[in-house]
Amino acid sequence: MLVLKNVTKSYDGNKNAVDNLSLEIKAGEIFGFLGPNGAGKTTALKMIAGILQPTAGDIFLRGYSILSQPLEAKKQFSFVSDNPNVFLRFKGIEYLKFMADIYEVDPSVREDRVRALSNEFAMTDVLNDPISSYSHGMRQKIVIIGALIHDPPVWLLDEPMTGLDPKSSFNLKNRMHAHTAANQTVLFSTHVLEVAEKICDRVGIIDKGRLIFVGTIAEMAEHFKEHKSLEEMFLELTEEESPTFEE
Amino acid sequence: MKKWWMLTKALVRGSDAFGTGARKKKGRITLVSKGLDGTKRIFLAVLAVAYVSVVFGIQGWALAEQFLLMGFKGNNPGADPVLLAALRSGIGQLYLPGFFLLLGMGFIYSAGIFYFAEDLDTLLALPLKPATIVAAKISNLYIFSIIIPAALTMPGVIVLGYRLAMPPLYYFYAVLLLLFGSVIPMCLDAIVILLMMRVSVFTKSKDRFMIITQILMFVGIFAFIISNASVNNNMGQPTQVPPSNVRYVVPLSDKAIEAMTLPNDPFSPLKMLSLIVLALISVALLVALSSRIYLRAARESRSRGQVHKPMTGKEWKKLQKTSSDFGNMVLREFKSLLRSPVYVFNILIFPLIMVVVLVGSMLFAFMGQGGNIAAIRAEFSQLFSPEGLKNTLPYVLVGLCAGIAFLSSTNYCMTTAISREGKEVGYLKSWPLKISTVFASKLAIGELISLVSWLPVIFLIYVLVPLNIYFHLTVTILLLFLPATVNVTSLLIDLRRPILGWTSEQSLVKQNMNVLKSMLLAAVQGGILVGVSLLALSLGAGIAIITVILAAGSILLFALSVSLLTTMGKRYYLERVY
Repeated sequence: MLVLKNVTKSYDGNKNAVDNLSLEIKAGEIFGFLGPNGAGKTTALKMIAGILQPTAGDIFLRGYSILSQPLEAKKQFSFVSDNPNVFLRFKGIEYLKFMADIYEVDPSVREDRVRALSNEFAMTDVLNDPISSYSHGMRQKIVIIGALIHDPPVWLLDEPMTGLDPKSSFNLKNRMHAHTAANQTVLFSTHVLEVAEKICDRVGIIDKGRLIFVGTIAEMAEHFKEHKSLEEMFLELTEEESPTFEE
Repeated sequence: MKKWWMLTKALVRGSDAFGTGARKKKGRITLVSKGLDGTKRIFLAVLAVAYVSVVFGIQGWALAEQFLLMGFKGNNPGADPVLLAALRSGIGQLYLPGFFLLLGMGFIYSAGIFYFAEDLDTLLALPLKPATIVAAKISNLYIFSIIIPAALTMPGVIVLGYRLAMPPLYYFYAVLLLLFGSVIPMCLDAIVILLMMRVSVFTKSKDRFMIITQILMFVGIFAFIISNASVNNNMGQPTQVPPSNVRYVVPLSDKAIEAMTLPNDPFSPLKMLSLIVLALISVALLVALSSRIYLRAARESRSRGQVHKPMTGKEWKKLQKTSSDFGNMVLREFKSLLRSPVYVFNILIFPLIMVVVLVGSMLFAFMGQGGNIAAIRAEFSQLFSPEGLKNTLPYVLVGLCAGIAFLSSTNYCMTTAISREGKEVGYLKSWPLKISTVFASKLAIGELISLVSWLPVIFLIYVLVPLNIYFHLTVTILLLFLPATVNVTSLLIDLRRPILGWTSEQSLVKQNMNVLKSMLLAAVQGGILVGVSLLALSLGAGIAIITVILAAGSILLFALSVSLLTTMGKRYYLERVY
């Protein structure tokens, strides 16, 4: 479903923000990207979304290369950035219509989808207001609704729970499960280890641009051969001098 | 007292009242790419102040020469009253720009310090008396306010005093007039801003607040221009002593100027004192209003609720209508610009002003001829006589080319086309859109603005100027292709170094070196055509050759710019925009 092949990104030509990252995320999988601040999670997600150009390597979304077939690749996913301040001059409903047009959502299903998603995220009452009048959490929700409106196979979410109220956060997690149950894929980054522990099928821990662990939480615990919390294991992994784990 | 001074220093040095410090510093920062850092800003400000000081110093010198020729020297109570009145008027002229500009700019300063500086929540949480905060804010405002009149006024006043051998009291009174005279327009502006802050509609929208503030600023500055023009009409005629309009901005400044011209007169200290008392009353009023209005307004403006507009059946129906990627992107650009008062004002107002100025001046010419089109056409037809075609029209066309190139670069819509996406540009890049669609949608809006600016001019030219193949062909092609070329190159410049880390649209438009670079490049584009044309003229080329150079040259430049956009522009978009 989503394949990263030896992906490297350097901003200055010297230091790699992402260093030779290879990863395969299968259909039906919720994959969590974990890592300290500045580890390279957002850079990796932005390369997958086609926002940043990899310095080396390639990324394939359902077989389409983001470099050589960007339009086809981009139709396979939706992206939610860590910054939801998007289109502040649009009304919520205008933004959703725009997204539906860009992703060519059939007009006959738009209204049902928008109604369902906006009800689920408690946004129906504010759809006719400018996004600039929304709170941070409401902006996050309108961006998430916009991302889900075309029901893409792959969800790329950068810190999606930030600013969400408990109910919306719960609903989003449920949607992620439902999405992968339909044999689709979710890739998201988070700092909240409890979230990763509860909903991820697998996690990847990235530190200083390198993927230092990929596997299930159980596999991580097996590596440490003693009962530790995810938090303890995460801290230990990211403090070590990056012993790379192969899948 | 100590806390007041500590806070004042902190506000002057550290407050982001004008949105200048919030720029994201990423990668290499250069003077012309990512804006200016503090040191460079100060350096450029000092250069600008020095330049202005020299200009106004020269004005003082010229004025002194005039009075020396009339026989005036030093403190001369016995001088001819008409001569003294003329000197007072001259000194008033030296103070006029500083005080009038302060009247205009003071609105921006006051709004920046009282309204836009998002430091009040922090300040109110500190163990400071509200009076200390208000006093520090007013001191902060005063420090900013005094710079303009000091730079514009004092060089001329000092040079004038030196050349006329005025006694030391003249300089003392001059400084007092500057220090206390500045207080009055400053307080007036600040009080207006404070009152605006009490009007609930403004507290909901920073953009709207800024628009109103800018309109006030322009009113202040235009007042100076009009005032200056009316005085200039009377200057040089000492028998008709012109009124010193500066007294309308700084009441009693005329009395203070009287004191300056006769510094040793026993009534002079009283005259100065009257100004000082008025200034202190203004400050007292401002302090009283600040304590009552500012803190309350600022608190309340942060606690207003939001009333939502419900969705209607019509709104839901709109979801059924589909549009193409290009159509959607153009609509998105259009809405995002139109709904941003800052953009509407800063981007659209300049092209519109150009239209008003150009079309307005043409209409004035039209009215001057008694509304007789035939008379105007007859005047223009002289351009197309054999003599005119040879000696005048080529230069008219060359001049038009230079003007069009320069005026086109004031379309700030294109120089911020990518930058205005801000940090969320990633969304745009993550959508399945062709890069050419993104560029085309931005250029479409840029072209629309250019056409809004130029179509009325084209229309008037066709109505007022008798048809001539050289003139109409060249002007039409220039007006269509030169602005388009400037738009494309402006987009290219913005793609090359986009400024995405802004927090205020105002600072993006106002403090963006890409805007200056686009203007420079537009001048180069116009310069190429003008240079080649002038070279051809010096080699004996006729109007036909000039027409070909200008028309074909502008088309060629457009093709070249599009070619650069599709190659370099795409590369920049992929590699630099994130």
